[in-house]
Amino acid sequence: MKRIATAFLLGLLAAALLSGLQAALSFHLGGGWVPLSLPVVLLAWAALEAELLEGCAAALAVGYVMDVFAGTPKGLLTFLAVLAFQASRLARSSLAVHGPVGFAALVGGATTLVGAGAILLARLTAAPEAQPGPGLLWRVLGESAVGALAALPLHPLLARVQRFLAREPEPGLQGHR
Amino acid sequence: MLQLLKRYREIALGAAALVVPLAVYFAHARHPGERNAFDRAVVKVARPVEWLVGAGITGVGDAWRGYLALRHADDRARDLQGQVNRLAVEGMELSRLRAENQRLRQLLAFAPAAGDRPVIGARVIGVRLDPKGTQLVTIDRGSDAGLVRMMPVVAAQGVVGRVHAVQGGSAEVLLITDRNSSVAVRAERSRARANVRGTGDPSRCRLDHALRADDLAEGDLLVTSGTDGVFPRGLPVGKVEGLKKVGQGLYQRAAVAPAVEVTRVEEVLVLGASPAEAAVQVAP
Repeated sequence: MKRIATAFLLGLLAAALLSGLQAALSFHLGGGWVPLSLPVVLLAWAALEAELLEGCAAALAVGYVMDVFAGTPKGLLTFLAVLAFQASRLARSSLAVHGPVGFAALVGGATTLVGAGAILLARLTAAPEAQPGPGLLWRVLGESAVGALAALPLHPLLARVQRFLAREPEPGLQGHR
Repeated sequence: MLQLLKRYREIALGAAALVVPLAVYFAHARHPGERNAFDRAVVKVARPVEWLVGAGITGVGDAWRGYLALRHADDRARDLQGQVNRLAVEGMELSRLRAENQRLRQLLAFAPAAGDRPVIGARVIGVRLDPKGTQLVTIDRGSDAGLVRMMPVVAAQGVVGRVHAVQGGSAEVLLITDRNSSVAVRAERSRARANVRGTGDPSRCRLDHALRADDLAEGDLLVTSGTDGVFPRGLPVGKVEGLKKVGQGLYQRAAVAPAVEVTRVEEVLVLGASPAEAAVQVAP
């Protein structure tokens, strides 16, 4: 239970920080012309590294933050984040996903799933005049490509953070003084 | 039963993690609520990162430009290199300031168009042009500066959007290119009325409810009509492009090129309520 709560809180914090980074990067590098969705990186990472329940908790947190920042109705991106996490987990177990390139491919796939899913669900529920057009799918594909590229430098960073969080005190050091 | 639950606990919880948010979405899809206190706290966590990254990128950019200036200094002027470098950097700083000054002058020249409304200048500090979500920019003024929801936001070239959410020191602006944005407009030439609705694409909007019989032409400038209760009349919104009269419909169709390039806007003015509007809002 403690591990699940920790995963949720870490997901929440990391997604909020990545969303802030994404907003600033989008503004300074292209003024938002190039779409970017950095928190999806966390979903792919959770799919590679976390157990099912921990990963679901982290995905719920990441999706919630994405909903808050994207201004979408509550639950839309939360649902898609959990779906992307579970789909990535399936992909990980059925395909050999290794190293930064495999991770980047996973991020690209997850971003496409979240983006296309959001457009599809919004088309089902939005008022006819506010429904997203199919032309936005091109922007989602662009977002997936940029997300996959951004995942390459983030992979070693996440690995380092993971090692730091998993670090255990060396045995025998206690009581040396 | 307990054994069964224990055995399939993980699968059941994993399925619940999918079903619950989906149910929440369908419950909220048509009527998304305001941000609650927890939502605002999460946004607050990210704000310093936006500031820091922005400052970092600006600093690196300045340093890089300074380095380029050094590389291009003439070898023959080596003795004066320090002075030249300093002057070059100062020159770049001056031209940057001049460009900024020009933009701000344009913005100030635009301010009288706001009539008797108070104007609040703000800088853009972040953008979220999410194809699957809303088209928002973050500005560095919020409720501390008197901003409230629905205030119109403009740049020197025309309408940018309206205030969507406010925090103490920042606010989010819903751009006119957002799918949920609709601005009441008139063609400046013929005074024909229509609505400009966002498409989710930052480079184009579309014309809504333009009657087939109305006199509209390619390149017509569309200005706010002032009838939507948000924007004062006469602000440029965009130009008509790709006008089509399809079949026998009631309306004609067209795309609209926004007057403001939302991906390039750096400074904006937020228009407050005019004294007359403020009096109406205060009255019971």
